[in-house]
Amino acid sequence: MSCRDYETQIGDYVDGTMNEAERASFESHLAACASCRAVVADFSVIRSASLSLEPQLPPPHVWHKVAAAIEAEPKPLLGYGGQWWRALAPAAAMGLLVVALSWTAGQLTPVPSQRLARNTTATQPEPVSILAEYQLAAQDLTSTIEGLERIADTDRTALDMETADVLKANLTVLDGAIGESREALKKEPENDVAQESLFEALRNKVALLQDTIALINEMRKGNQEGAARIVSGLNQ
Amino acid sequence: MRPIYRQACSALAVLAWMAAPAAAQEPKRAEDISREIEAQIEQHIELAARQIEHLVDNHLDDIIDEVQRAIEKHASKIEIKVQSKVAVLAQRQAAEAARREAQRAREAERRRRDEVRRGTEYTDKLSKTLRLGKNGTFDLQNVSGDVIVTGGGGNEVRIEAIKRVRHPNESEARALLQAIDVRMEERNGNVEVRTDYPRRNWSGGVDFTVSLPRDANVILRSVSGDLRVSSLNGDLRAETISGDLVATAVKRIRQAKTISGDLDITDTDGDEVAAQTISGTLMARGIKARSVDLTSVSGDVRITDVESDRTFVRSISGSIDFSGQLARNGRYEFQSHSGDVRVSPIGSGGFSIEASTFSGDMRSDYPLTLQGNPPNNLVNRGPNRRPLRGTYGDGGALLTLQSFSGNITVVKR
Repeated sequence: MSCRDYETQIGDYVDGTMNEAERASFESHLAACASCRAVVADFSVIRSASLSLEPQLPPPHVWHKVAAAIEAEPKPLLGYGGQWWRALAPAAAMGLLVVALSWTAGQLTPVPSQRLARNTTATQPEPVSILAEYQLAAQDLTSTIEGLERIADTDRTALDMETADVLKANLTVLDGAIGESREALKKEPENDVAQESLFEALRNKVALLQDTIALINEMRKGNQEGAARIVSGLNQ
Repeated sequence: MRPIYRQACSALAVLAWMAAPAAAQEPKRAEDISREIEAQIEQHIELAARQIEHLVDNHLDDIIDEVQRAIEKHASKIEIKVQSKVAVLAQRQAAEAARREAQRAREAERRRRDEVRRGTEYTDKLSKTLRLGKNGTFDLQNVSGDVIVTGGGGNEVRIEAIKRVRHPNESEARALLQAIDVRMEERNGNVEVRTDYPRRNWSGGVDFTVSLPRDANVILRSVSGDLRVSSLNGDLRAETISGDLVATAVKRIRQAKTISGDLDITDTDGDEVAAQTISGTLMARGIKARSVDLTSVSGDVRITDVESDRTFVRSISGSIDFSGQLARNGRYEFQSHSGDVRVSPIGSGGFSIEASTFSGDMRSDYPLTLQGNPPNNLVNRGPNRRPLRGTYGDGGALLTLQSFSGNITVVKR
């Protein structure tokens, strides 16, 4: 091999990133080549000098240029030396999305089959994680809420405007709390505060929807006195 | 590099000129040296250029990747912060909207009542006294109109009902008064009051003023009227949709509920207080009770001068503000999703505390001993922290404080 062949390896040699065989070959060349030895000596001086420098943050416009260059650069799918995960990242993201959707869909599906499954396992107990129990309970409550919402949406006009607005505003509050808790659980599935907040909000929503429906029914029947009884179910 | 090269060549030329006398003796050698140096510089420059080219070809992608990863990491952190702030803001806005709606409902209720009071009012007064058995229950259901119930001595229930109708036509008003059916009956030692209203648009209601034995159990239900109960030792269950509910000196409040109306419980020295509201403000003052259990969805909960062995307060977006004496071995749990939780222990009793929040802040005016460390004020910022456990004094009472996105503070009065 000639000096020209070795030139591109000088940096790796100085950085110490060569493998054993490459280094042995290069060092045997160095022993016979004063020119390359000189270059190695120069590179070593530059390297040690650069290591003594304070880290410098590039100015913002450099970052913008780099970001623009990255954006403009076509992304190869594979063959990205040592960066195979980048090509697989979209697939992995899709996989996660599918898992998330499955979980969400599970929450929206009727419960009996899952309940049945759980009852079946009662004869052959299996260890069930607290997280799994939470998810199962969340499915129950979410399914209940789905059903109740469908019923409640059928005839809200039976309620007087002020009461309907108050109920609607509070359902929005509960939806916000449920959404916030779920977002938190996506990031930290076992966070106690997020779990408890989710259940408290779901439980409150079920109670409020049940009472909304009962109130609607009583009002529709013109039974305001009966409507007065409905309040008894609130928050239970 | 090229300018450097030129400068180097110029420098060498000057050196050569200065060394001219010597060079005159050996001119050929100086030129050789010059050419040699020039060639070496050329070689070094070329090599350095190739090294740089190699570096760019082989390592730029890695550098860009590293930069991209750093950017993504920072962007992710910023995104989480922004999402958290947006969610908290949205939740606060929703809570504010709920409060506004509740306020609107209460104002509508007031307007309705003002309307009822305007114009010519026609009334019809009824009164009846009925006997209430021992441990008997007084049960009243009404739609519109205020209900005032006061406990006292004896074993009789005295009921005064005033039907109120406003109408431009007197005969029509009288007909409506007749159509309002108020039934007051004694059944198996209990007393029941029911009101049936004509099914058409009209303005009016029935106000009730009731005095009964203070040991009686009382059940009240109404849609839009206020409920006021005082001096009662028996069980109270009272519910209204848009009216306010006020209970004073009631020993056992088993159930006090409103949707948009406010709840006010004062001067209770007794057994149990259980109250719930959707969006009204819940206030409890001067209470001594074995247990206090208060809940709301968007309404704030304010508790002052409360002594209780077990106090549980929960809200979704309302804030919780508690001040009271903490009993040794007592349990106090305060939980809100997005509202703040503020606790002011009164007296010298110690407490153990477990406080947790997802994205709020925590602070204590009391020096707390945290996991064997010297007493310190509990201050914690930043999201996703672990629960904080500590003790103050003898650690006798157990305080559990939780808020998802609200702040938690333990305040010294």
